[in-house]
Amino acid sequence: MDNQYPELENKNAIIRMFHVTKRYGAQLALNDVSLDVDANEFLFLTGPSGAGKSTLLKLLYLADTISEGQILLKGMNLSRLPKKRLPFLRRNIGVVFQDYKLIPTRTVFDNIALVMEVAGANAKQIKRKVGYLLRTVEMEHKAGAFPQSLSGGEQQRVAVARAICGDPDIVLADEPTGSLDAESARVIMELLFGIHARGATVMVATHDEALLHSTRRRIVTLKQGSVVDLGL
Amino acid sequence: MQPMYYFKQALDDIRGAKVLHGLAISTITLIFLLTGVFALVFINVSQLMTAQQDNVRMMVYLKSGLTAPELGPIQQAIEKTNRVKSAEFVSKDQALERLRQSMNNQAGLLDDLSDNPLPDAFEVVASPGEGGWQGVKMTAATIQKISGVDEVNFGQAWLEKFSMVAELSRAAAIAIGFLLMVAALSITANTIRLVLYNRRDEIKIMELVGATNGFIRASFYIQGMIQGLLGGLAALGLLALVFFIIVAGAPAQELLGRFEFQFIPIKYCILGLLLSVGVGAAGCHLSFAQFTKD
Ligand SMILES: Nc1ncnc2c1ncn2[C@@H]1O[C@H](COP(=O)(O)OP(=O)(O)OP(=O)(O)O)[C@@H](O)[C@H]1O
Ligand SMILES: [Mg+2]
Repeated sequence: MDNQYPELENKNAIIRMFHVTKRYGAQLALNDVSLDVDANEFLFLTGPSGAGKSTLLKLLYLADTISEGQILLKGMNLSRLPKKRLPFLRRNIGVVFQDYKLIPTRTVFDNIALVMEVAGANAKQIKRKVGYLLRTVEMEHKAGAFPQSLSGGEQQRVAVARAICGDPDIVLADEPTGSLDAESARVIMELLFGIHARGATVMVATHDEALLHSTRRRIVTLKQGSVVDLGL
Repeated sequence: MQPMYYFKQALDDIRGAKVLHGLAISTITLIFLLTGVFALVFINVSQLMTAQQDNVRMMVYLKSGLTAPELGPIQQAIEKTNRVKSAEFVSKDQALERLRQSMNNQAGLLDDLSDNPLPDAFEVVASPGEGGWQGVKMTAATIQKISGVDEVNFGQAWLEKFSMVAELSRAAAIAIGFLLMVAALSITANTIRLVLYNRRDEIKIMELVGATNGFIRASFYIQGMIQGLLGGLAALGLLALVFFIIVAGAPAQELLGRFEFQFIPIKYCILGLLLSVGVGAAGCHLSFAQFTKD
């Protein structure tokens, strides 16, 4: 039997966006975006500044509401998600924010630990995991430092460590190498590849050409809020 | 989840905003101290009043022209009346003598009297017990009906006024206590609201990494309750100090003779502390209601 709506069938997709539009007042940040991301896919999101990369990611972790269209995340319709379930959904999504969003009154260690505290992990588990991550991002010597005393690159490394701390199924990284030198950027990308290798779905928004062409991954290109290349 | 985590966070927050919390706690202390003083006064005034009512003295005046044998049955009838403890005969001559003594140097005025105008009487002591003022009134009415009794006098007007004042002060105490609690509530609410606004970015981030409302709020509720409890404890301590040093000390005691001042009963102290904790939690609740609306 012929399927009238082939686009509705994609059993592998963990993220499905259908004709998603986002407006900020009169500003059209996303315009009729449809996109499927398969489970355990590693995908780059690129496009010039203001193209809507951050906006797209924000809609996925529900920091903003959709103006039109639908998003299914792990089969759940985000527009219909009960408010009570939102925190639990977010624990499955690790986010590296473009502006890091570290808590200034908490140390590096406590910033990363927050993710596990929130999820109810015990002190021993937290210590082990956060210690491991600090070593991985080469920040153990700054475990007790506060974010203001860190360089941009250091803050970014802490932000990445926090994003993967809770072993999320989905990692959304918004310019995770934006303020890093080539070597530090490589370390961060290794981390993201590592969590991808362990089964996570990873989306990286970037306009770093060198990064985009260093690996052969799918690249989705946005321009003025519209998808101009699905990278398939 | 982990209570220790919330508790630590709450203490960190209090330490981080020492002045703010200090001010709030002092104000709450003051409010509860004021409430405590009201309670203390109220408790002692009502105590004093029941002590007074324990033994109500009434004069039962007899009709003139009664003969000695008629007095016995009257006395027996009075003594059989409910709540009466004793009845002692005071003849009109004794009454005149008493009057003469109480008038001191003006007693000479009485010498001009050719006839003793005072009636014979019984001096009756009644204990109203549970019935209070109503009981006294009933006893007086019963005695009034005994034949040969002319009039019963027991300071009606004074007792009536006293009861009314007690009722009024009770209502006032409740109203003032209520207002004071509202004040304490709004102070906690405002303090927590300021802390909330100081930490709003942090709260946003906590939400983004998957913190539930409960997780975020718990430490604030603990802060509010700590605030209330410290305020309540300080107020209770100060009240006790003031009470034992000043009120229970010699000078006031002498004025009132055998009457013993009472501190607020333990039961109500604990109730007050629970109330202070409750006010802290409720204040916190208010500020969250406001915070999520903005
Ligand atoms: N909160 C907001 N209020 C108003 N306009 C917004 C808001 N967020 C984003 N926009 C607008 O939406 C458009 C897309 O913004 P977005 O941040 O998604 O771009 P971007 O692709 O991430 O750019 P960059 O590469 O500079 O990070 C921009 O024109 C921006 O001005
Ligand atoms: Mg962006």
